[in-house]
Formats: sequence, C-alpha cells, structure tokens
Amino acid sequence: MVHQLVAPVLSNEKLQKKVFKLTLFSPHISKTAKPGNFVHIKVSSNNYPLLRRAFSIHRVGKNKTEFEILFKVVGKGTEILSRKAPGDIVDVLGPIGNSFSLPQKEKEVMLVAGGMGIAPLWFLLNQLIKRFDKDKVTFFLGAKSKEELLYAKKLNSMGSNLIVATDDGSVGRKGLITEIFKKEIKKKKYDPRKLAVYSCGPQMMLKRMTDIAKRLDLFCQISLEIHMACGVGACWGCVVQKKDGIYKRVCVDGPVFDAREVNLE
Amino acid sequence: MRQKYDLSVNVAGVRFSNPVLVASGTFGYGEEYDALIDLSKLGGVITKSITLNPREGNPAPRTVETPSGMLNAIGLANLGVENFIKEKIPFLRKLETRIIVNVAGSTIGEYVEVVKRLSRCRGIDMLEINISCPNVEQGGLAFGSNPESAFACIKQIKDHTSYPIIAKLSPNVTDIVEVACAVKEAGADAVSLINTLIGMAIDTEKRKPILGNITGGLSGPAIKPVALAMVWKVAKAVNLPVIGIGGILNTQDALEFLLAGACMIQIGTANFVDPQTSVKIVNGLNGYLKEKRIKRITDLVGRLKIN
Repeated sequence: MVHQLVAPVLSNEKLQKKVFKLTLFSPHISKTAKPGNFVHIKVSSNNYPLLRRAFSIHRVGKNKTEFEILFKVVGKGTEILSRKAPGDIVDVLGPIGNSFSLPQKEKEVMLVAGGMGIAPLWFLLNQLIKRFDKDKVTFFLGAKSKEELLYAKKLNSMGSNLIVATDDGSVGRKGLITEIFKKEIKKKKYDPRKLAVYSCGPQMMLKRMTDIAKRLDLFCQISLEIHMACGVGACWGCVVQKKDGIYKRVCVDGPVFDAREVNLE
Repeated sequence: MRQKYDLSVNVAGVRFSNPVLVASGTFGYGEEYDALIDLSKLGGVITKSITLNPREGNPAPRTVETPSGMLNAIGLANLGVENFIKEKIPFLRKLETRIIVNVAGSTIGEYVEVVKRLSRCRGIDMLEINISCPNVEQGGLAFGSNPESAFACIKQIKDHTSYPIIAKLSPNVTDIVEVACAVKEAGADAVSLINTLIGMAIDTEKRKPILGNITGGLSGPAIKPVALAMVWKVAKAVNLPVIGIGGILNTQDALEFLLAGACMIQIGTANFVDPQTSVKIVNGLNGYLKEKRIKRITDLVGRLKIN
C-alpha cells in the first residue's frame, strides 16, 4: 500500500555523465515493492519544481531496508535529485502502481530494454532468475551508443542470455533494439504463444513494441513513463488510451500494460 | 469539553468543523487519498465534477508543469452520476467530514438532471456547481462567462434542489463581481473562486502545444495573487459567503485568503505536492488562533486593514 514517508539518502552514485543511481532507506517500500511499482518523489522543498517526479523502483536491497531508483538528468527535477547526497532526506510516496505479472514456468522469457528502460526491468530480471532456468531468459539491451549503454557487464554476469544493440553500432549489433528483437524471434522460429515479453524504454520504442505485440498476438507487458500530477489516481492527468477508446490512468491502472491493449502515439 | 479555539464555520446552514476543504478535481472521489491522510480532519471533501453521462475526457497529454504551477486539461473525465451514486457515495457517506458534490453539464437541462438525481441520495451536504471549467467545448465556462447565463443556470438548479448551492466562478471574465452578483440573484448560497486561468505551453522542438487540448487551466502558487485579489473584490461587493481557492500551499496562504474575506478555503494543486497539506493547514490555523489568542476563526474573516 502507498505510504508517504521521509526517506534518508544512503548513496547517490554517478554511473554515466547524466545517469545516477540513488539509494534510499525505506523498509516499507523495500519490503512491499514488486517489479513494475514506482515511487513519486518531491525533489525540492520550494515551489519550483512544484510537482513530484515518478521513478520506477530499480532494485530492493537484500536486507529489505533500502531501494534504488535509476534516473537520467533531463530537467530541473532530476538535476536537483542528482545533487542529493548521504544525509539528505527526500519525501517519497510509494510503492505505487501495478506490477509485471510473472510468466508460467514453461514460457520463454524475453526482456527488451531501451536506454533508461533498464530501470524497472532490472528489478524484474532479479526476480525472474530466482524462479526460472537462466537459459530460458533473454535480455535485449539497447542504447543510442556505447557511451549510453548501461549494465552490459552486469547483465553478462547474470547468466541469462544477453543481446546488445546500439543505434550507431558502436557496440553490439547495429540497429533499434525492437528490430533486433523482431529478427531474433523470426530467426529462432519462436512460437509467439510460448513467449512472455517485458519491455520498457522511450515512448517511440514502446510504440514499436505495441505494433509487434499486436501483429504477433504476443504476451508483452510494457511499463509506461508519463508526466504525473497526483500519482495516486485522483487527478486523471496521466492517461493512456486503450484500443477500445477508454482512458486508463498510468499511475494506478498501470504503469504496466498489455502491449496489445494500448494505443501509443 | 468545548474547544478553546474554534475553527468551525457555518455556510448556508451547514456546519463545518474547520474552514479547510479539498478542491474539486484534485481529490478524485475522496477514496484515492484515504491511505494517505486522515479524511476526518478535513472541513469537507469536494468531489470531481459529476456529469449526467460518463465522460472519457480529453486526449493526452493532460497536464504539464509550468513555473510555480501546472496546466491541466482533463476534460471533466468522470464516471457519470448513476455510477457515482452506486460506487462512490457509499464510501463518502461513511466519512466524518462534510461532502460536497461538484456538478457539471453541457446544457442547463443536464445540470438540473444531475442535481435531481443527487437530491434523492443520502450523505451529501452541499453541491458546488462548476460553471467555470475552461477545458470543455460545451457547458462549463459557457455558463460562467457572463452574468446572464450564470443566472439562468443557477436559477434552474435552485428550483430543483433543496441542497445549499455553491457557484464556482471563473477568473476568465471581464468582471467576476458581476457574475457573483448574478448568481446571488439566482439564489446561490455561496460562491467559490477562482477556478483555473486559461493558459498554454509550447514544445519548441516539435513546434506543438504540449497539451492534447492545446490550452488548459493554470493552477498552483502562480495564480495565488490573482485569486486573492478576486476573492477580496467579491467579498467586498457581494453579501454571500466566499470560499477562496487558488494556489494555497500553507497556513500563511490560507490566512491571506481569510483576511481578504473568504470564510473557507479550498486546497487544490497542493494536494499533489504534499497530500498532507490540508491537514497541516487545519493544524496551522489552530496554532495561529492559539498564538494570537483569537477565539474563533470567523473573527479573522475579512479583517483586512485598509486605511
């Protein structure tokens, strides 16, 4: 259940030029969070930026006292967050939202991450490999270039299959990760009914995932990112349209949706 | 035991334990905040706007943050009056706070029909009539934008309900005092102001408006000075209870509105920033009375000193 709490900063690690991993102390969130859940953080104590910022839960600590978020500095809110240091505290609402539904045992599992989309999928992967044969899990990791590629080494040491691609080909295969994913299922002649796919990344990438999922009638869950106001289902600001025209709230009806069910632009 | 410092307020025969309400559209149907705050601490809860039929609302994006504020263009998304009565009233009825249902429509007939159906339902203390939504093509602001149509709308509603009526006014008019006078003439029991100011934000990379609806309603601390001036003007000119809304974030802001002439206040955008805002303000007002040795909160209303 969602709580409002004051979470002390345990660490704030710079992973890349603009990418940070923030570790916050919160037994409540750490104990109750599921992969796909997010937190809504007030980054400043004054009026600018005014609204909270939403971040997927990236990992929960083994001792269940802390959790991590992974973020890229894209504006004022994330810039302020990047300057948080141990000893600071942040106001957090969480955990919020639905979660990925874990696949049946016999499925072949594929995770498709673009850029910062690794954030919730890392949490998911860590749960999956506890229950699944590592051979049956394949991670598709995409980025713009070598400089922006995250977690390739870490993923390599996880024991699951790893396919890396960059838009410019500076490392791994060249091309969009969604195209590489599509080619891979074609090449290996996977039966779409035997696959369970999970994806997160930029809007355009997820749009392509919805196209693929709809065409192949693939079980594919995507985690959406959108600007939010309340984050608790009250304002109806953060909506996504389902294929029947109905709007759903990303914050509490999502952020995880069946890719076959939503219309992205 | 009688409380030493009295925060209670009476508006149109309804007694509120304190003057702090949560504004329509920022608090869902109340239940969304149940896990986060003690709802019984509030003076009252105002629901999202309820219309006759369910509404899906506007295309996304529906919100965008702007300096010290935000724009929204939700488009009165709501589940419709019948579903509201079935699914949401049972929860609201159990709360130990006042319940105000906000009503919107695209024709006067629609407002009247919603009001009639709500009138058959237990657990509602008052209605707030939204004649000021800037984000729908028909209705809303169409009724609140001039004194004649505001009069016609409120008059018809008053003829069909025994609930006390609050008319929620728009700042997007030439003279808000004229509209306030008109709704008083029509029988409104109180006015609440201000609804959001029409605003816009542009993505310069895409050369496109950020909101799906192109324009939206500006709220948050950015609009507080505008709201305060309008509350002051209306309270001075019209003999009706005034409920102040607009960018209230803390006790200090609330006090400004009370001094300007508002007998109650509504917390809107601040609910998103900190769900505890309204409860903090209730406690803050109590502390203020204690510190200044003022017996009743009503002793502060309109006590602005102007030489």
